[in-house]
Amino acid sequence: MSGGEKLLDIRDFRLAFDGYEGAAQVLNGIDLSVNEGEAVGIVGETGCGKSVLARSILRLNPSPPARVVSGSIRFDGRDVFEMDRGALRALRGAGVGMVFQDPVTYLNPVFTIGAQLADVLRAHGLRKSGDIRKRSLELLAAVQLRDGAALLRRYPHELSGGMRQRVLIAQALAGNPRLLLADEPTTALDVTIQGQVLALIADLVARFNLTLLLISHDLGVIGAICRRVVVMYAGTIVEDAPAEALFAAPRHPYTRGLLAAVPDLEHPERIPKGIPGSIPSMRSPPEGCRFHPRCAQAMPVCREQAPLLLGVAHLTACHAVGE
Amino acid sequence: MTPILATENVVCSFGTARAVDEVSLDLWPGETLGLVGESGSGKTTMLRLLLRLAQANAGHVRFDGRDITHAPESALRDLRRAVQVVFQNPHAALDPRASVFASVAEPLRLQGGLTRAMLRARVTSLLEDVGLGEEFLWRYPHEMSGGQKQRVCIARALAPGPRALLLDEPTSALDVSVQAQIIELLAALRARHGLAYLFVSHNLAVVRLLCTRVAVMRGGVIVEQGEAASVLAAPRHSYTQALLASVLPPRATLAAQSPSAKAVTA
Repeated sequence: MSGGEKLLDIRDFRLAFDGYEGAAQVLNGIDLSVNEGEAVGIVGETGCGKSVLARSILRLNPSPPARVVSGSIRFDGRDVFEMDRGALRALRGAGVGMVFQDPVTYLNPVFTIGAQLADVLRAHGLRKSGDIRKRSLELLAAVQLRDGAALLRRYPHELSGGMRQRVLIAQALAGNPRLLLADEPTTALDVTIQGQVLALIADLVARFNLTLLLISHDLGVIGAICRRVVVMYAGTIVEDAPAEALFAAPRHPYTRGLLAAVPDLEHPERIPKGIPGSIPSMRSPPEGCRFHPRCAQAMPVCREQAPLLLGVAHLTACHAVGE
Repeated sequence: MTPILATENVVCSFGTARAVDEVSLDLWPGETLGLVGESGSGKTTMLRLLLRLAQANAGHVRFDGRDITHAPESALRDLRRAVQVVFQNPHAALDPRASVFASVAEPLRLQGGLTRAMLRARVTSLLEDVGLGEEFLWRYPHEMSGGQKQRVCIARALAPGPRALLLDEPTSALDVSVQAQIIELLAALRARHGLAYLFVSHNLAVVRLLCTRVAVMRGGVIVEQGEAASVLAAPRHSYTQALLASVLPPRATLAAQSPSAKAVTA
């Protein structure tokens, strides 16, 4: 990891969801630290825990059923789970700005864009309507939406999906956050719009010196704007490496399987291969390495002992790697 | 040879919006045709027109050369048998209260003439065809993963012995590792049964893998059509070029260039 202060520090974080049929161990010992100024991508398939992890950073998982089993999440040195109401409010928006997947559901259909931006700005302490208007226009300009004044009077249904996502990004920036947390920000958008929104995020990160944590199931999206990639599987981090290294020389068998499964337009002769089996139940995950039942390289030790996330710069949690 | 399905200058409007605007498209026996474009381009409406689930305002829809644009439903039994459809979201396409057996057997029951034992044997062999064992017969949708459910949907589509499958984004709701399995399955089934596929997708890489021919739609119009290999390697229309430019390869491209200045304006 390169210089800079540790902005986000997650240590041995374990989270369970309690249910009638027992507790599901959705995050199982997450170790992740992100330095100020880094652009980190978290990639993994459905149910791997990437969104739950993102929401944990802002303490957004409703509790119950969510229960912190052990470990800590520190933002700028302070433990998120020990914050009082006031500190938590400051964390949400002013510390960390979050952008969600579906721009349709996160805007209220019965209020104008102006009213919804004003709400957020008031929550961040702006009072005078003149200030609110000025700042709203600044934010809309920052997300490259033209004709901001007219836009403030519009309703969500009058905007395209890409425009709505830009409005949500503007809201996330309203509190001048240090960390931008984007959970599948382009998944609901068309491919041509996806490129524009990713370019916008990359531009904002550079312009406002933001630290970026981007969550996606799409390796192409991650590769487009992240310098470091974290791969998750079944509630654990299996690999954490600089983007070039991860794509060029993936080490964990799951990462390799994931890359081999993606169809590549530039190499149509390469037939994508699926990973046999399916993701384990989080209520009774496999002992040892959670990937071992689907792993071609599984050894006896994989069944007994969970591998540690080891390495320098390129970290891997696998018994078969780096012995 | 006549196309299994064909449209001639077909138009479909909703109010004042022309969802499909004078489109002519043929699906030949045994071929794999990809229909690509973004949301709102008219892909799904095209599919509905071909299935006579949407009514054309003008133009013609033909099945085996026969004009079915205004044919009554009673005259569409051959079409319903010969052309089957697989939808995008397998979680919504199966009745949550029906077992796998019930779902896959339904189209067979409608055709009639099978005893229960014959039905069971036929359903078992259809499941085997899509890579599911007999243990799946009595499962319900909530007991299966997305990939398994999509396999059941494919088995159900194969039940009446169709000549063509219309596949509407069949892998979009699935994880990549599962998507790869379904692509493999679709390729194998096509070879085994000599099926024609109309594959609707926004994923160009998947289309390139499965299709020999491709048609690109935008704003209700087909802007480019031809051999998949050539259209996707050397697109002529600016929209096809923009679509290709926005494909993000599974690589670290940050250093290379930023993702998409070339993208189209909305």
